[in-house]
Amino acid sequence: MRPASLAAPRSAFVVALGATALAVVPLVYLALQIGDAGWERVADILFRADMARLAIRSLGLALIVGVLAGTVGTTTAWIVERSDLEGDAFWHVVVVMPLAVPSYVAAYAWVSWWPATASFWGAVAVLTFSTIPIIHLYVAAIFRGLDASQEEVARSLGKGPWEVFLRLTLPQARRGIAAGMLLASLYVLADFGAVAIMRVPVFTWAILGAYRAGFDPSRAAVLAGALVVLSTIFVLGEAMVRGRSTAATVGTGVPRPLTRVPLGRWRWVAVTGLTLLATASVGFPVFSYLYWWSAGGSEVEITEFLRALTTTLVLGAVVAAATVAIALPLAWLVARFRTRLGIGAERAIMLAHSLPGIVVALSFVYVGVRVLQPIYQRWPIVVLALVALTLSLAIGELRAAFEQQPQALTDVGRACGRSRARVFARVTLPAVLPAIAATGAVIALTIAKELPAVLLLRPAGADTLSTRLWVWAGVSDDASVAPYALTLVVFSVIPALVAAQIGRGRVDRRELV
Amino acid sequence: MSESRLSLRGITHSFGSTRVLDGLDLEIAPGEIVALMGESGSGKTTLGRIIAGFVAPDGGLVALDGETVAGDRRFMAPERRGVGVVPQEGALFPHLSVAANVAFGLSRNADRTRRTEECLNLVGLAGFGDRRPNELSGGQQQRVAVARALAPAPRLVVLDEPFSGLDSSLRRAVSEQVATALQAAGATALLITHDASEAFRTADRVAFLDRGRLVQVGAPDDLYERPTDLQAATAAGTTTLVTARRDGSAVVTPLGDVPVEHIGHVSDVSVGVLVLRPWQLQIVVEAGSDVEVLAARPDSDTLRVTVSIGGERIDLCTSRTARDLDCLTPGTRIRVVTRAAAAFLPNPSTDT
Repeated sequence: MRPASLAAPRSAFVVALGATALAVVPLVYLALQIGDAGWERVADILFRADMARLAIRSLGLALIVGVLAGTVGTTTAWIVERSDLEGDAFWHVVVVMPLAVPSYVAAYAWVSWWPATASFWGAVAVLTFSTIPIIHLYVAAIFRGLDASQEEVARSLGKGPWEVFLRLTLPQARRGIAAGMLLASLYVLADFGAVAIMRVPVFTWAILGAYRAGFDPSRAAVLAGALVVLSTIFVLGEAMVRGRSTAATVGTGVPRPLTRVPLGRWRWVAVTGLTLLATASVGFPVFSYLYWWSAGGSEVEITEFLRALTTTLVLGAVVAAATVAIALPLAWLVARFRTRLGIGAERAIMLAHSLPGIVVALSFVYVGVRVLQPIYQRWPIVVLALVALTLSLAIGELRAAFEQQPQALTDVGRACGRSRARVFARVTLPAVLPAIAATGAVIALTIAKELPAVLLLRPAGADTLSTRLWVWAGVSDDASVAPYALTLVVFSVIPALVAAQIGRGRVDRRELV
Repeated sequence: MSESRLSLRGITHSFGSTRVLDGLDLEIAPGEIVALMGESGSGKTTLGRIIAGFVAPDGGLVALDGETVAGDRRFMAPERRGVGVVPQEGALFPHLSVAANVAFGLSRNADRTRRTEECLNLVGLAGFGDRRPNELSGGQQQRVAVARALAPAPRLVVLDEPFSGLDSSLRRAVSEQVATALQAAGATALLITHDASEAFRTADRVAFLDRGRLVQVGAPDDLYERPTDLQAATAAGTTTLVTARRDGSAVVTPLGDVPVEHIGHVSDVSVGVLVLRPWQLQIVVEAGSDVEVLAARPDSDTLRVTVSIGGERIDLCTSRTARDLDCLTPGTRIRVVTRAAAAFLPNPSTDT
């Protein structure tokens, strides 16, 4: 037992419990809703042919996209990190840029030109473009993390660059690539916007259908429950595959840049491929919306746009502030004290984060209907749901910031005769302020493109940029969708750049000799 | 010339505006083990990487068995050179077993199993083939790395500070095992190290690198008994350095004169530094002497004594005998007897 002056303060635990409740309670209500329906009704919903088709289509979409994005993303990661293609920093950003195009924005761009693309394979294409950056970032980090001297030894043992890649690099990256594919599949299972625009009946889209069609709460809840089970399988699978891969490193390795494989005549193939990829995933949507916008005929009035913009910005700021305020004590608790409660809370929140946005949104609908009637379909519940969705992102970032600060700093502060609270305020907090600001900004900008939670929970008549886009897309008014789509892309560029930067930060710290 | 296994001629290399190698020459005969010593940042590792083919030198020639592999507009890829490498951290392939690591560089038609066992046996790890690298201790990993480098019978093995990651208690044992393995395999090797005892134990010859040049190459004993460079002298063992000047057939120091014929290496400067090994100094208590003890403290097998001679402070390092420390209290008057010295070298302050 630690003395009280060294143990984690009680108040931090209270916040940790509150945060966990926020992440977990909605799921409890989802379970209650399913329970209320009764076993017969649940079985009636579950064991039907349309349910099987739904499950197969959802899984099929997730797995096909996972494999496609896995193949392309691994290739782009290899070109950027391991080939001698010039301008690797530039191409890295180019490959990550699709993160700036929300999946429904990309999907609608295709549908606006060719309505026939609204199909299963259309969704495959759009979601593959959206998830390539995820795999690319994941695999590029693995490629960069490999020990350069291993490859040098292999070369000295008579193996050429390609053989080294096939026998050393790829086998070591294999599990990481598999984990990245599962992550991409999870993203597809959770995606709501693209499949809704493309009208592909998968779980997320069907949940909205059940919610809308006279609101069949039991059917919506059972579908959401099934989606939770599927997602959890992918989360656990990813953790298992990734967990085993880390045990294999030996020694600390030598901080030396990895050698690069000369592309030779393949150079123009690589450049063409990357250019086509960027054109299809970023260039085409942006061009489309610019075209529709300039073509005129938009029915969007400036007041409507400004109102949606203001709502989005205020909502983003409020959610960012609330999320950081809740995440800060919990992140500190986990980073500094490693208490069981803190770690448990962190895990629960991380697991809740892997839930699709529409499931969290639906759960909050049930919470609103059952216990928070006064704020149901009012802004506070939207904020609660969005905080629940972004909490794990904030905890991850802030925890890393706390962990970077040496324990010795706070020790010295206390040894100088300052109380813990004072040391926290004067030493710890100033050091993590940049991280707090950056996390808040990324959350606010991420919130801007969030669709299902706002769609289900927003007060009647209120709109954000994303829900306005949704409304205009519902009536296929391309010119009116355009200003919203372009604004969302502009908003999302910054989080995308941040993601690209984080992915390559490690290289800068390496010495060159 | 054709007798040399490795021949380096005028190797130069720079990183940006920093010149790390500056016209370096070295020959290694077949079956010879040469230790490359030098301070950190002296260019040792870069030289090893140039020989293995991971770095192309800016200038000069690298030849293996008389065949130019780098320089003269030629560059042979590392996989074609037949130069084995043992890096600092071993860099075992973590996803392969020990046996698969050792067999990695063996061709398909060779008797891989037999050769693998032979090499593991050589480093004293017979029967470890099925283990995974992460199941081995640091010393075992390094020995596997050596076996892996030796397996394809390379022309030359470059070992880059292979023991620096190990605990000091383990280091000696592992380096001795590796030296035995290299000798048993008849390997030609370049051992890069900053540890003099490791170099002296293992190598037939020691080369000392300073500011991009080899300042002394010779038998281990040469570096100790007859250093030609102050850096090399200090790196090769414990020294006492005394400012001195040459006067005819003797070198004159505040401690007394030393005849030139008793000095291992004498450079032709007139003012310089006399290098003394601990056994070349003897301290005798003598009342009335003008040498006064300021402080004395033990330093493992030697004794460090700070004295004052006519106001000048000198740090002496001498062999230690049991009762010395009790006699040498501050203020004690002593006489210092020097009958021989390792070298008389240019003063570094006038050198640069």
